[in-house]
Amino acid sequence: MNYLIAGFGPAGAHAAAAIRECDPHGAIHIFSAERHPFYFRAALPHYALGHIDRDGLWAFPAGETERLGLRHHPVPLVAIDTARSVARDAGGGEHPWDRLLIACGAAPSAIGCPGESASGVVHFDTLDDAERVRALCGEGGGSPPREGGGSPDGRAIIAGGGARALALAWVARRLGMDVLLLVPEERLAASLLDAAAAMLLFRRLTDDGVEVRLGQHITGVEHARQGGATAPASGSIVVTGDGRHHPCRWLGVGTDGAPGSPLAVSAGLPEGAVEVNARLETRLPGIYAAGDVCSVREGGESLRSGGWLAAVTQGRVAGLNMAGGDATYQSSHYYHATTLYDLPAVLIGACDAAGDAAVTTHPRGPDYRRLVFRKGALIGAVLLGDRRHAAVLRRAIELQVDVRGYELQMLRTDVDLNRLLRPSGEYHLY
Amino acid sequence: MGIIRDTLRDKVADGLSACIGCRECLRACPVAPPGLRIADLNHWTAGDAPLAASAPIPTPVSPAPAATEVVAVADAAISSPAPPAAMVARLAEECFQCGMCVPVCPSGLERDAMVLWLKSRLTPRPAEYDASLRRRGPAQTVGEKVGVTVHNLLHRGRLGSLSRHVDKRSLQPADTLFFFGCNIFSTTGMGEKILAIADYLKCRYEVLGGLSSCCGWSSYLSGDLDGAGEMMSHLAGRIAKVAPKEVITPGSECYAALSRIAAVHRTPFTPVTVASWLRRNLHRFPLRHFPGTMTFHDACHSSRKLGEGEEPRRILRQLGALVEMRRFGDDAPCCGHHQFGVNPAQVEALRADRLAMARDAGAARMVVECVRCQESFAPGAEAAQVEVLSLVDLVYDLLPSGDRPQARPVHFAPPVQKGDQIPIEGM
Repeated sequence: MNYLIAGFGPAGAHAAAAIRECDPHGAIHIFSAERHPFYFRAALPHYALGHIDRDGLWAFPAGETERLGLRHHPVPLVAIDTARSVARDAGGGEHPWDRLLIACGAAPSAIGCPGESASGVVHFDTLDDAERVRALCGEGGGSPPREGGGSPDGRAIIAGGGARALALAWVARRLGMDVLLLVPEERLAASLLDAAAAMLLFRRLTDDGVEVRLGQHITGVEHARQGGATAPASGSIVVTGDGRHHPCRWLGVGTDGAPGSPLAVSAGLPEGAVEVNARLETRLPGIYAAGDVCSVREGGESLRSGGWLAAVTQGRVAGLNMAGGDATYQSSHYYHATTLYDLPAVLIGACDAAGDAAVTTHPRGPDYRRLVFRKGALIGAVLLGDRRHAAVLRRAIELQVDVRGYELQMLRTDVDLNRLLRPSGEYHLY
Repeated sequence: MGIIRDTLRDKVADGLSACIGCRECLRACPVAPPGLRIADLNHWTAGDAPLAASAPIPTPVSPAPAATEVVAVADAAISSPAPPAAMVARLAEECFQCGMCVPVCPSGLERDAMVLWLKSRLTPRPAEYDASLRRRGPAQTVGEKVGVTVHNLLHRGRLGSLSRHVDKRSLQPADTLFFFGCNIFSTTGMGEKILAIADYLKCRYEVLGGLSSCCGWSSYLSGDLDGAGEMMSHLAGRIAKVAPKEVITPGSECYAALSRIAAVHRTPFTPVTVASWLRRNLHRFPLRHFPGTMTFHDACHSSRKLGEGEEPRRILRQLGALVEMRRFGDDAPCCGHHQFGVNPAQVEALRADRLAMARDAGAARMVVECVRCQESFAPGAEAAQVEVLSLVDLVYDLLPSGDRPQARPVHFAPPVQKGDQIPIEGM
């Protein structure tokens, strides 16, 4: 059996490991645009800050690629010929496949305006990007935030308001830059948080000295040609939709890339997120998709999960099925714990569903939580700031515990919610 | 009994999938071997296979930097020649389950539970663990029964009025149950003082103490998951005989065990920390201000993990001037008690560092809530020129002298050296 995997991120790597569990002899070829082996992509902010070195970033233990018998090709796949069951890489090489996994992630971040490819513009998608961000911030990696003195030379502008932009803003701030965050949407983390939670996050950023401007679209990036009080010695001038010019040392593009992949389109799949069923199968025989590139069709709805854990889980499910297994992915058990800027955030289950009841903490409190219920059971939760009891809430959703009468107590962090799980006999400290 | 193991196995599987490799857990860990890679730690954490005990690795004894400090990891520090498996085993042996790794994880995974899973697979178990924990819980064999009997005979003499509660068979129904477990043998004298305070408050209570009623949490923290489950089930049965409304304990880990029993077993009681109980009744004591400045050391389980850190502080603010140490609350380091003497030099360094923090904060006294913390810090107090005492000690001092039974002499063992026989905890 010949397995081709497009992408060496968490979905692709875990799919490969799962395939090898079931098929000890099949040939597994992994293609990616990067020359690096599988690394902890979500740890790039910590790498940029110097908390881990390159060796610590590799996500497989030493020798694992060889032990699994994986062949890594540092070149991306660009086209799939379903009639011949052959895929073509960017160098023109052709590779036959019996099973193929599209796991190349969402499209790279982009702002789509003139000047985007200028030298002072940096992305934050890859290991090489992280090294560039560190270099652009200059000396002082790991130092606490300092003021850039208000000069354009000490300022980074970051485009975007999602998780990637917030991570980049956090890195830049910790590395001593003044940060201006230009958010196209009307609130931060609009795809993850409701308005009240976004306001808490906004307060946190501004308290940490980050300037945040909402509803700001970048219309152009110009190269700064002279230094001085209004322009950096070398860097960029960012033009926003309101006609204002913002000089900076560098512009970071932190917009979340759109789902979908030209590779999938080349196979005849529609534009946009690659739709798969719970077995992670596309509608094309032998072709699977997992991770940020796909959306899972479940119960008549097509749901995008996103995040490292979802990618790992989906990759594993896809790998098992590619090798003849029978595994399913349950998006209703979605769990995404992350850090937005430096605030812990947890999203569990159907956290943006309407439900038939919902409770929230006071919007001006130090932390935020929103719980969504349907037919007496918790179906979704959003925690921002204090994530105590996340494990209990997650299990309550998975076990569909009847929590009627406890709805308001569940908002509190000083009540032991473990009693909700009594029938299961479980106990969670955190 | 298998539920503890199953829950832990699930946590490990979730954690391995969710880990993004940022290494924040290892940066916060006070005992992590330098150079240990997350990929290797995760690799060895997976599965059920026995984990061979570690080969010796030179370990620096200086405490790890505070989790909140931003410190670049030098490349040189990463290039350790020790094999990954040995470093992982070393971490598993030396981890005392302080949980500092949990709040720093951006993915919210419970690395302490994952290391506990490793502990449960250590083969052979470190001798220091079993030297510290043997003979606890319900005695199963004739040999164990004889051992417990001999132990009790040897130690009852110094327990004074507490001795009648050691492993007693007859328990009377009462609304209030003081749970001491194996801490009834504590050299701090905390149990006797608690009962004196309860008598002053004219509280009607029952007492549960002795090796046979150990809560099992120390065994749990050592990786003996099945043994811990047995002990908790046994304790749940003993508590049910008293049918209390609340169970009060001076042990931070005991509080965790009681919280679990209250949640999981059908024994409807409320677990209460001794700090909560004292704070609730503080208005009934002849209050006075203690001279000098005090600071508070947060216990891992009651204060940091279960969020009860504010109650002790409310007491201290009423009794004197409270200052915080450089690291407190969620960032407070652990006393290291549950390393069970595997690396005494390392733990002594951590304790000395903590006492130095109290001194640096300008505090003449470091107040603790947990009996284990007091036992851990007291031996080094004199050298650090900081008095270590418990909340119970403070409140006990408020009692009119006629209500205070004659205090037994308090004895703390000197710091343990590598190779010493570790006494059973609380003895």
